Amino acid sequence: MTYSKFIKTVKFFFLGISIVMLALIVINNRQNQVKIPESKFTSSQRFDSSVSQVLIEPVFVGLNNKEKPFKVSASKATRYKETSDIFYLENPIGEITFGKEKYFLSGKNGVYEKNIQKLKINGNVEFKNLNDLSFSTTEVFFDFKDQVLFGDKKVKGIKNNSTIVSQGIKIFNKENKIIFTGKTKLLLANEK
Amino acid sequence: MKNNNKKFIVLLFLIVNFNFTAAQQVITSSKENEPIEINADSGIEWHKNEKKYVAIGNAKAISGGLSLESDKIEAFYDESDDSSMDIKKVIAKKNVIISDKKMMIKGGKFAEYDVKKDYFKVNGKNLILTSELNTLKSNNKMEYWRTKGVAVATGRAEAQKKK
Repeated sequence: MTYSKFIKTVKFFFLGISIVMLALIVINNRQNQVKIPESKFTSSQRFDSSVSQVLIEPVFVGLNNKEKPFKVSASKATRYKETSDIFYLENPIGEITFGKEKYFLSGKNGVYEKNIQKLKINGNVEFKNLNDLSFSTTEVFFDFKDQVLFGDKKVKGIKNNSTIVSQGIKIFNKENKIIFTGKTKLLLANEK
Repeated sequence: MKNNNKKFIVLLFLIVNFNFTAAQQVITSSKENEPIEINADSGIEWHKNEKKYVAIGNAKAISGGLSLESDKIEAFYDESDDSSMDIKKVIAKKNVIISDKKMMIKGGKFAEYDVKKDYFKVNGKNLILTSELNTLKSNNKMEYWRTKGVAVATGRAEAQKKK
């Protein structure tokens, strides 16, 4: 083996080693990214490289503008690398306080935007308060910060024997007011 | 001038008794436990602090044989301890039409209905009440006691009996 051949071999050897080291550094970095400090979090699923976290039974708690607490929970939440503040929820459950009334809401799927504290729930959406007032619809949005609830899908509300059906709904905490939008039919039972 | 004033005072107050005693009894009994249906094209607002519903756009309230149509209807209620509601007063604004089995009042700009008293007060410049036997007109106010079947027209009023 001539001297020049030996030098070439050594060059390729070190080049190979540096490529392997580089690859190991990249892999190591990726593994660090999916490490979650809280025990409820599990690492990302390998089959979908864009998923950054899957959370089992997550609970999000925050305060609205009036310093009243709100809570969002779900059976499972997923968030992606590109939109790390957005959580895609399965079987979401929310609790929101409107003035003196507390509403409990649930649905099949949901999207929670943590930074702006907004929640969208769809699929068999139900929300009710402690005074026997309940609503059902297919899609609804909650702005926890401003304490506003709204939706533009058909809504049915029931309280005791009275019912209301409308094309949409808006609940404002500030004025303790509920607006049923679009064509609306209210049937008030004479309860006395 | 004096003659004109006298004429005006004579027309100021007219009472028409519709004499439908049989109908009154039916209405009174059916009013009990009768649900109230409110429809609106542009939505219904529920003002919980003020204990009222506001129906906007082609609003219509129906209870038994009684119907109230208007651009805007406000229904005020009392709430009991078990949070059940009892409508006590209904207000209608603009293009008011009131009708039941025996009569119809048109031309109202504002109407107020006291549910317990079964009493209407309607304001408007061209009020016309029509029933099978009578027509009553007013340019100011009309009151109608539904159960008693009595209407009172105030202002420049005119009553006609149909032939």
